[in-house]
Amino acid sequence: MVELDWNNVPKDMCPVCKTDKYLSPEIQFKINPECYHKICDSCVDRIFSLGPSPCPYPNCGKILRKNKFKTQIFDDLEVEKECDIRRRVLSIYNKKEHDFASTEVYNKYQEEIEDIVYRMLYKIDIEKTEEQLKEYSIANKQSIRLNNARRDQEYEKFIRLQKLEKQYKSERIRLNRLIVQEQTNLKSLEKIKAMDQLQESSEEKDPDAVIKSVKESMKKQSSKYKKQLEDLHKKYKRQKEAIIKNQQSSSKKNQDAALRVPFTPFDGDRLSPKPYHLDPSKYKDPYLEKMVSDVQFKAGGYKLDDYYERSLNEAFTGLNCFIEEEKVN
Amino acid sequence: MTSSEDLTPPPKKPRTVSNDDLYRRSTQYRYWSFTQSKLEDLRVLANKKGRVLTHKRLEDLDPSLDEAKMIKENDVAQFPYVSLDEELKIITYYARKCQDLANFFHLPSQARSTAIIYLYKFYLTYSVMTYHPQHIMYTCLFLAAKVENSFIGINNFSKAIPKTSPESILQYEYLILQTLRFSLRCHHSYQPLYGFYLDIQQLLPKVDRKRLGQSCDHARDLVGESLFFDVNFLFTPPQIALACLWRSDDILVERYLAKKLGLKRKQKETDGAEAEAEAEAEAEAGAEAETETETETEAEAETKTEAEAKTDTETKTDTKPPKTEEGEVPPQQRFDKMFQTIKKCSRLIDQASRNPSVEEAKDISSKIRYCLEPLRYGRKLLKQRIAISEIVEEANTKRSVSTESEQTSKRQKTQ
Repeated sequence: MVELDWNNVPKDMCPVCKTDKYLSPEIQFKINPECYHKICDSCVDRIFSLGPSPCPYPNCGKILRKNKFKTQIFDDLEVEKECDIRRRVLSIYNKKEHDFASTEVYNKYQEEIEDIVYRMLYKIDIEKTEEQLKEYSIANKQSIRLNNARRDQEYEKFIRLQKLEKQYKSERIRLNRLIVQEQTNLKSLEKIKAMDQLQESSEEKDPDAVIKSVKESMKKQSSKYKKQLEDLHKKYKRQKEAIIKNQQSSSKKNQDAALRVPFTPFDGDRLSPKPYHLDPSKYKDPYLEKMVSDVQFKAGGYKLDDYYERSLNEAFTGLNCFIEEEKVN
Repeated sequence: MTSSEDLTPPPKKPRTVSNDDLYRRSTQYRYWSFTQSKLEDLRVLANKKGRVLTHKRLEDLDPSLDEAKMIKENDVAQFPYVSLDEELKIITYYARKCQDLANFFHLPSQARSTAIIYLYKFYLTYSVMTYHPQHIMYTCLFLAAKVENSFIGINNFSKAIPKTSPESILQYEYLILQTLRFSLRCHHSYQPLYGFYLDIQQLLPKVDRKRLGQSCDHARDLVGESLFFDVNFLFTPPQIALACLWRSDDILVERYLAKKLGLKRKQKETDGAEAEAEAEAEAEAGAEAETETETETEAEAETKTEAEAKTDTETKTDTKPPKTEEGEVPPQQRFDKMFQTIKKCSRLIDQASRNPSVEEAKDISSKIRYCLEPLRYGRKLLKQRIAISEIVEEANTKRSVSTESEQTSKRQKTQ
């Protein structure tokens, strides 16, 4: 058996278990951004499911964790590496052009980013670069978080737009197909109809007029679908605009929500000043007093004041509803 | 937070909702409150439906039967339909029965009142010619006890009432629920009355507590009595409560309402202090006298009401419309309106009650039975005819015997 060259692992083979893509076509390779060594999916499961372990490649020895493994996107590992680094740097250096006073400053900023990426990729002054990154992230903590949030929002918007467009396109295709279908249908139908009519009333009517009427009815039918299509287009445009404007409107909504009155069963409204003044000290009811002084009633949490209030409330609920006037209709 | 509020005004000013608006949302207001004319219309309609149904029953009779023939012979127009007035009487009769039955079961007044209201509500949609009120009454009571949280088991319930079975009571339950439009809540006037009792104590601290308690007790009885009149469909519970209180103690309610609606203060402003002081002294004197003897107070009360009525009319003519905020009705108007309503309500309770005598009730009840089962009527007619024919025969034989005897006597004479 040929000894495996660890520095030059064949493309379609896992160096750990030696499984080949030829024998098991469903094999999937994963890499860890710590060392970018490729290991197959089942090996990752086997080795790292019990917790962090060192990389199985000889002379590597980096401690890897299972949750950091990811599928390789680019064939070239160098590209993959650069993308990861860039993503990391950009999540910290995440200012946009309009955050800067002039283009020059912005260009300088971009230059800085490129420098960092380059140095990290080729491991030049790596400690110093890391330090720089850390310093920057601490200094701009607030703005970084804000910008990230903004980016997330934009991304979400983008996804929504994409979804909308997809929907719109499929709907449009469906309608177009319907139109075409209808047209062919109508054409054949028209022929039959025209023939029928011509046969039936060959003497009374002008054949040209008959054909004309049939054609008109056909046009009407197809125009129905065209109208639907137009409507769809309009709707799509409207929704698109809504999504683009969404950022402002949603923030506005939040503001409104803060000002809105909390829910009540009667449309966000409040009881008007009560028509009575609750003053339990002035009420005397010999019967109830006897009851309240009884411990048995008190033990259950019976509150006389609640009863008073309820009675008073009922006394003024509907006092000014004059049915004879209000129910005339 | 405050800054943002300053920047943008609140989107909608919260509308205020009064207790009355709350009441307007209740099913009692929405489904079961009518103007007087509408109420009458409903009853006429129900009666008409009942007549049509009875008529159909008559036509469906097997014409070969003797009884059916009898009915046909005996002019159809003479068939004993139940009139509108009789309907009301019999319903009231059974409502009273319902009350007795509820007392027998020791049900609280709340449940008892609800049962009575259910019964009246049911017969706004149906006629007694469609369903016999006796059966409906049992089911109403059973249902009301259940609704008002004093449930009686159906077996115990039907055991206590002769000639009923659980099935016979339960079979109408769904029908009644449907007729009530599934609105089971009844707002009664007992609680509002108690509310007024409290509010009067707070607003008029000088009032003699003993007397107040007595008039409230009396008013409570009146509230129970008011169930047998249409006031529950025509007025709101607090109005009925006030009307009952007014019937038991009119001066008290007048004084209370005047103070409540801020009438007295306005009077002071316009009329000057003299009249006010007089009224005040009078009221106090009255209050003192009231504690001494009851007969006296009644006499005084009458005179006082007259006096107050006078002052009332005077103030009406004298007072310039008091300045009030925009859209607000001046207290005088509000007072008058409230008073008119209360008086109207009280008059309705006062009206000659529909209580029928036992004989009358029996008569109507048998009529209902005939409507429900026309065959019975036929049978009765048949019996009548047989009886009549028997009498006639008897008479005939008697006559023939007498003529014979006469003849013989004549013969004897001639001989």
